Amino acid sequence: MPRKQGEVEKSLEAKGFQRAKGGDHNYFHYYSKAGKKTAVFTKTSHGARELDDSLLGRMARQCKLTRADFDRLIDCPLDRDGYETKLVAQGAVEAPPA
Amino acid sequence: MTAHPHKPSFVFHIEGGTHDDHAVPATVLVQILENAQRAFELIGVHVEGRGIKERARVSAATSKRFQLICQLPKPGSYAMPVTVGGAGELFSVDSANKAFGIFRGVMEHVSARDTTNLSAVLPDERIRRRVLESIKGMAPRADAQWKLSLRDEQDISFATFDVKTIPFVEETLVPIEQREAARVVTGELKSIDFVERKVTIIYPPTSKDLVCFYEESVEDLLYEKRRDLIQVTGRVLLDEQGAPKQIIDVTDIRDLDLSALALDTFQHGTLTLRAEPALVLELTMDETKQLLCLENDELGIDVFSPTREALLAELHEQVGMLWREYAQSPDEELDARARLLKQALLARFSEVTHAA
Repeated sequence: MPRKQGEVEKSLEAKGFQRAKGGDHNYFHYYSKAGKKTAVFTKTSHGARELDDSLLGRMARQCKLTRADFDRLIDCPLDRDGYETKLVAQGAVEAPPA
Repeated sequence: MTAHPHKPSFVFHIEGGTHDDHAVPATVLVQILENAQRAFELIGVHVEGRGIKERARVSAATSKRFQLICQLPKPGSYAMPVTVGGAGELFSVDSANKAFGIFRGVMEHVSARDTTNLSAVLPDERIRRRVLESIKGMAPRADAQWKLSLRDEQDISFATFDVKTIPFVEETLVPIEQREAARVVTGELKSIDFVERKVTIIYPPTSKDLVCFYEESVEDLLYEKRRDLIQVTGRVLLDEQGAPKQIIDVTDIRDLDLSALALDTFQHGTLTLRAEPALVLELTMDETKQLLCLENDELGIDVFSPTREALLAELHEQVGMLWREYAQSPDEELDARARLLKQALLARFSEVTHAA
C-alpha cells in the first residue's frame, strides 16, 4: 500500500537518518550511533505526495533492507539498534568501537 | 545543392551522435525522416484545404504529393538534403512551396520556443497538435548526444532541435494542470482500439488489464512499431487498494528505451562535475517494471524513476548530492564505508570551474 511521504520521513528521522542540508534536503543519510555519516542514504521526494509500492521497494533497497523490514522500520517494530545491527552485518556501516 | 530547381528544398544537419563527424546512427536518421515526413503530410492536408477528421489518416495521394525526397548525403557534420514533392502529375510546385513555408514557420517558432505565433502559421488545431507530436519525434531525447539543425537552400539555419525541444513541445501540448496530474505507467501492450481511442496494457504489478483512453493527437504514435513494454502518460484512476484501474487523458505513448546512458558531465545547480573516464550506466527495471533504475556501487549511485528523462535528472541531482555530502566532507565526519565512497568519487570526478 502507498505511504505518505511525511510519515516515512518522520520515521526515518526517528531511526537515525538525518536530512541533508542545502539543496539536497530530500535526501536522508543514516548516521551511525557513533555519530558518523554513513554511505546509506535514501530519497523521499519523487514528485508525488504518496510513495507507491514501486518507490517504497527501491527505497528499502537504498536502506539495505528487504521491503518487509523497511515496513517494520517505518512502522516502528524495527528499532534503531536492530537496524544498525543489520547494516553492520552487511558491511554497509562500520562496526561500532568495541 | 543538387535539388530539383523548382522544388523547395532544405537540409537536415545532424551534429554529434558518433565519433565520426560525417556519420549518423541509422536509427536517428530514420526517426528524423519518418517524423518530418509525417509533419509534411499533415501540413499537406491543411494546404489542400482539408481538415483532419476524427481518426482520418492522410490519404495516399496527399502523402505522395508532399513526399520528402532524400538527395545524396553531404559531409560537414551529417547533412541530408531533401526536396519536397513526389514525382508525377500529382505534384504541384505551389502546394509544395506553401507546405514548406508552413513547415519552416512551425519549425522556427518551436526552435525559438515561441508558442504565441504557432497558431498563426498553422491555424488548424488538430493538425497543429499532430505536427507538434511529429516534432517531438524529430528531436533528440534527454540523454541524446546529437542535435538537429534545419538549413535552407542558402545554408541558413532556420531551426535547431536539442534536448530542450521535447520538454517545450510537451508544455505546449499539455496544460500545466494536466501535466501535474499525469503519471507514467509501464505495461505490456495488449490491444489497440482505434474506434474508441483505447489502448489496453497489462499492468505488471497486478498482471491485470489496464485500459487507457488517449487523446486524438497521440494516435499517430500508435502506428509506429510497438515493442512489448510501452509507457503511457495520463491521469491514472486508482482502485480501493491504490492500484491503477484506468488511465484517462493519455497524452503520450512511448516504447520503453533501456539503452545504456553514457555521460561525462554532470550538472546540478551551480555545480558541474566531469567524470574521467565517462560513466556508462546500464538501465534495468525494478521488480514491478514501473521504474527505470541505474546503479554503480563503487560511486554510490542508486537512482530510479518512471521515465528516462526523469531518471537522467535524478542522476545529475544524485551525483551532485554525493559530491557535496561525501566527496567534500571531512574524513572525521564519515564512517569507514563512507570514506571509501569519498575516495572513489574524488578519483572519478573533478569539479569544473567556470570562468567569471
